[in-house]
Amino acid sequence: MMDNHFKHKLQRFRVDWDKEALWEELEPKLPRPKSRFLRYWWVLLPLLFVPACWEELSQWLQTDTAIEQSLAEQAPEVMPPDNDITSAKEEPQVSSSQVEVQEAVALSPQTELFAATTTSSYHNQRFIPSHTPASPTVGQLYHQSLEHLGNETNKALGVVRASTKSDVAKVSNAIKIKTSTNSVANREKMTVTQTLLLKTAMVEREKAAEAPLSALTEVSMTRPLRSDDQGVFVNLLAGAGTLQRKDDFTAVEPGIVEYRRQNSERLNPQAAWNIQLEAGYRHHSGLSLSTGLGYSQLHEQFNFDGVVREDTFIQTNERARYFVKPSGDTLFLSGPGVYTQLVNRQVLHNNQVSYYQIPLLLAYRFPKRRWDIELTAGVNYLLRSQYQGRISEGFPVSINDEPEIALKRRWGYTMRVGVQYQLLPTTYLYLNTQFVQSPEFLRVDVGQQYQSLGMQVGLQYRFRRKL
Amino acid sequence: MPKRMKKAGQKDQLNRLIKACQKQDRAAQQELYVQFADDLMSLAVRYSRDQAMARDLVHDTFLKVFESIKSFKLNKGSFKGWMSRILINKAVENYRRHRRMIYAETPGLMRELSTENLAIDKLEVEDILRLLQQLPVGSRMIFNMYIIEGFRHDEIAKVMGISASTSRSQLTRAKQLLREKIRKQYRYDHPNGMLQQRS
Repeated sequence: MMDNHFKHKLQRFRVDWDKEALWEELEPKLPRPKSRFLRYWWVLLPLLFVPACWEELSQWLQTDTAIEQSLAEQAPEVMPPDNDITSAKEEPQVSSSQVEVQEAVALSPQTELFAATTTSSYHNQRFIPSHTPASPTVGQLYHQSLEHLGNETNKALGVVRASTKSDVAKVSNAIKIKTSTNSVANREKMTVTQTLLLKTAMVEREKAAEAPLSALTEVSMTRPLRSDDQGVFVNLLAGAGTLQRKDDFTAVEPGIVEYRRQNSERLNPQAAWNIQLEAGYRHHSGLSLSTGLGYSQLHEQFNFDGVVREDTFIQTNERARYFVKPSGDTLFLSGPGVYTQLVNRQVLHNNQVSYYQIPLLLAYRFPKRRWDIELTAGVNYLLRSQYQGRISEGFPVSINDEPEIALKRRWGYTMRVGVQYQLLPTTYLYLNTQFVQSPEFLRVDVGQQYQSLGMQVGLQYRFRRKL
Repeated sequence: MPKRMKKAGQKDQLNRLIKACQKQDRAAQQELYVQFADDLMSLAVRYSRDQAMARDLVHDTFLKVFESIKSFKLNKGSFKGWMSRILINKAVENYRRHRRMIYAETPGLMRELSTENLAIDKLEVEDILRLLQQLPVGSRMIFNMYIIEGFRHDEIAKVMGISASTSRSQLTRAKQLLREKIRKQYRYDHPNGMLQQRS
């Protein structure tokens, strides 16, 4: 009767109070909305990268077979016989200094000049002269190209040095193929430039043949570009590492910071592991952008051993007595007086934070002979997270919609230093050291961010360009 | 308009309000506050010693609600229930913060009190609140959660961090204390059927 009466009365009860005053007090403390720009800044990253390599990607996807078919259709019409670069072999050789005093050749900024690929497995190198109002000389173009490509050009010339005349024929063929796809207006100018560049390459080759061994050694230190140095790749990585946690008490009420700190100290980070599948595209400059899906698990232990309650009993009877408590426990009081009983509790629980994330990684690769070094940095966007375990001796948490467990910031970041070792023609062993900062979680007002340092091992598959 | 359609319309409106609050829309936050402040205050009063404490509890609860509203999944559960859960958690936290306060438990109260006609049904809501506020904090919370909110003992145990049997025994104890207090503080006047507070 009492239960029903109380329930009935209390459920219908409304308090008369000044709620407007409380809103005025509350409003300044509410979080301010973030601007849309700040929320989607990360979109800018691929937006910067994708246009830079779009053209290259489209070329990567286009097979040489298709180009040759195109040549078969177009070459008889657009390629006059005197443009055949193989005839350059019979002409007297031109030195580099002679090249520089050649007549000016104008190129449009969009003009692409392909040269210095020697075997069918090497990629065409792109020479893109910077746009200048006055027409530059061929020599200037050559130097601009060298400046633009830097080491890549040296590598390409190094390849030419080591090549034979039959390779030169292949180069000229490649140039013919590309030239045939360009406009008729630019074709002749380009062919002249290409011829001169090729001649320069031949001179370099012959110089290299006469050069001392040390010069050749310098060339061989840099390995030639492989067909999988640019293009699409897929990584499958798994890793484990140490775990640390950073607590932020700024959102906690000043009066209970110490209480929250005590509870946080009882949560001991143990270890972290993750598995990640990534796919990306590598630009010929060595830069790559990748994304994918990752799953991480962070383990920590909640360890509580302390007094949770103090009960004071007043014994007024003269003799010692046993009492039965409402909980069923017995209580012995030895005589008149005040007794304090401490209720102790021990809790040892393994907690687990698990989350799915989308990484967005920017990497730079230093190619070596059979292995590559790669530096990676990127951000991780949390998709979904779950917390299981205890965050205080009183709150066992196993459900995801627990209001005390919230997400403060969805972003985390990753940094890696890795080595890729070629196992098979297209498959690489990928080993790296990784530092990960997790997104920020909010547990009963305490901001918690996890940091992990560990190793990752996995495989990288590089898709080769079809030839 | 049929009652069911009206209810669906109200739910849609609430969902729109929640979505706007998830985007930190200040006007929507105020509307949500106005809509639920009284309900939460009524709940807070039952878990607090006085109205000032209840006001603080409502304040903390709304701060938490607007911080965590992004994690609320629409169509998964009652929004009011979710907010009530936050308030109760806050109240439990406050209790836990001061749980080491010493309170006297006289062995005499462990005996079952004889039941008598206390004319409980004559008690007004203010009297009930006054009686509840005299209960030890833990017992009051368990009484509120079990009797008024309809929590099960295992749910109370989970929130409070105690065993289900402790929750049962604390509830029994709260009822005993309430009966004792009613008997001590009120007397039943048979002629006019009114319950009067003893001086």
